[in-house]
Amino acid sequence: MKIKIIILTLVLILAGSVVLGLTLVNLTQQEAYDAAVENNTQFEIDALNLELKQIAHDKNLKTASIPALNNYYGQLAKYYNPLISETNLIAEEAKNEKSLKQMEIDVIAAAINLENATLGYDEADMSLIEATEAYNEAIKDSETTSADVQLSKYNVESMKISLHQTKNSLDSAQRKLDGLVGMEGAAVQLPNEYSDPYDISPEDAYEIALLTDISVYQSKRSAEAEAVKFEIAAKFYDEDEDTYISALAGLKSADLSYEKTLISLQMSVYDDISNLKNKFDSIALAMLNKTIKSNAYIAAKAQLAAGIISSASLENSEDSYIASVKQLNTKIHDYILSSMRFKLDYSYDY
Amino acid sequence: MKRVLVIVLILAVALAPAIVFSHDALSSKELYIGEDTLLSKYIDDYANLLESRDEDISKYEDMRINRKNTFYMSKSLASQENGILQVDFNIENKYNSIKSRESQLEIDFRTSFVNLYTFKQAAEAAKTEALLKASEYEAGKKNNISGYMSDNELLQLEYSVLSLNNSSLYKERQYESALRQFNFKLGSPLKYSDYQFDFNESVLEPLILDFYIDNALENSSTIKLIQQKLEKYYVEQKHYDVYVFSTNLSYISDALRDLEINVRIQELQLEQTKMNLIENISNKYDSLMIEKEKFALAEINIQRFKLEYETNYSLYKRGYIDKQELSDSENSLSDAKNDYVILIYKYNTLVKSLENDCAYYLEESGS
Repeated sequence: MKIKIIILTLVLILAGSVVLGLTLVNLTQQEAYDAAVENNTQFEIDALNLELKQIAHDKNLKTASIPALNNYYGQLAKYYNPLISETNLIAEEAKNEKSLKQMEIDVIAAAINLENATLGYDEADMSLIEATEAYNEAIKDSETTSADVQLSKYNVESMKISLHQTKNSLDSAQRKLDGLVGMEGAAVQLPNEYSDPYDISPEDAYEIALLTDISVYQSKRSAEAEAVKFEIAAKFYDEDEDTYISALAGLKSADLSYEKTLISLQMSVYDDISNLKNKFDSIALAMLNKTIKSNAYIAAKAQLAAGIISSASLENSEDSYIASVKQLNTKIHDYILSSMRFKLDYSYDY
Repeated sequence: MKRVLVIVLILAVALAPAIVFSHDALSSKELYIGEDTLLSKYIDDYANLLESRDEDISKYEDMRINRKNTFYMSKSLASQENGILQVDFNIENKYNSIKSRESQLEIDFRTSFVNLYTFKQAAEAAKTEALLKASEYEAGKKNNISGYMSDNELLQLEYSVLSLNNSSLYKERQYESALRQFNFKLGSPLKYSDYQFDFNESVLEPLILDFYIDNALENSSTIKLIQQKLEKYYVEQKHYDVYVFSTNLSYISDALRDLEINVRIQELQLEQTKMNLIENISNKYDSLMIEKEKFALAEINIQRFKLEYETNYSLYKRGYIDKQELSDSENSLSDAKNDYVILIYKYNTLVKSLENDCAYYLEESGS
């Protein structure tokens, strides 16, 4: 009976020393991250796109440096276009920097997914063993009806399919992690430490996010650029002319968009903090549940020894305990991932 | 060949409004696909592109070549060749859009049609269950008055009746919504009884995984778009390679450098897209194989209910059970057989969906 617990513990602690006969490459989080950054094609694409943005900005700066024609388009080329290309360049740089950090989360998420898939596979494997035992007993038992034998057979076939499904999920999760770090049979140590979201000050988090958020920066700069454009339009066109009206509309739209981005950011900061607190609280509940299930399991062992309960009851108790350990593990990992995303999205550490 | 296809497509579009209202003449599937406005637009666009092809190409053939210097000449020649290429790319892409849309509509039709049927079945089953519980409640009230049932038990029964009524209403609304959506796609307000449900099909045998992957790598629209972009960049490079340019001139060195960067970006994106495509298709193929394994489960289920029915029939003949119990057993067997038919139908839809993801429809249509 202890086999299940031993298997589970091994899976959780070692995160898979050997899975299905495949030799694993155990990596620390840092090693996995470094390998993923090295292996990722997207970073090369991002770097090339950044180069294109830099070129476009340099061209605009060059054009702006020479005396401009004193008309609407000449003034736009001198004052408006460089602002836009500079915004695009800085936003692209920030986006690339965020992608690099995002990779750390992607690696951890893939490793957690692999761990869950491994547990799912082990569980399906055990269920198949149990269903097969029940089927063999049903065949031997002369009192079992043919229809019930068929039902047992159905359960076995159903478990075989589950095993196949979980095996596919396991393979897919392994391929995903391998693809990220660029090596076969990768295994990554999972983080288990986490901080308390009740330490977060929503006001401080919002203040910091305001200074670092890419979309806020982009919409602010866009509003500034539209103001410049409107100023130029006002210089060369009358109020009833299309260009003037269009520039004014562009300015108002950019201002509104900026306001909307600020509100949206504030909402998401506050919502995300609430979500973090919910997830954090659910860890405490899962811990309590684990303690209860552990106590019940210990008591059940004593009761079995005293002949009060059957071995089937002990097994049920053991299953409940194992499920509570898995649940706690899932909750912790879910919280850690959300916490990492929060820190990355708002550049706020806690 | 293409002209014949255009004529056929134009005829199909022209005749579409006339056939909408003759439901008997066409199957629901044909109506579902024929009524799609996006598909009609694609067909129109495709016909227009084919019709204007010669004219569009001649615009580029007659294009003025800038001969200011060898660089501008190379640039002009590349634009000319790429313009001509783009005319055929547009035709090819539009044709692919038509085939992809048709294929997607067929999948949508199959999914919606089977959903409509299963929602109706679920609604009817829930209604029967609620009615049975209601009659149980009525009997319970009498028992309560006679003192055979406690108030609490009666209350629990009442709760079950209300809960089942809610569930029945929810399922009825789900079915009504499915019917509305289906009618909306067909463009004609039909009743459930107007539809002919027949899900009997033989099992589609998928080909080997490598075949689908090869097909997807060759025909997937995402890959094709990147390849087309690359082809145009290569044309530019080919024209620039004819002469040696002075890289001291910034407009030349800038253009050559930009081109090189763009080629590299597209090459990397092509590589990345191919990898993602292979992974997605492999996963879908694995899921398909699992769905196929479920046939064996459904067969065991039929066998189980058959045995149960045979046992009950024997018990009924000997007077141990009543006709209702035998009838329930017969219904369970019939449901299990029906589930098997629907399982095959859903599996076949998945095969079609995999073919759609791999752009296999192009292979089938001989394009």
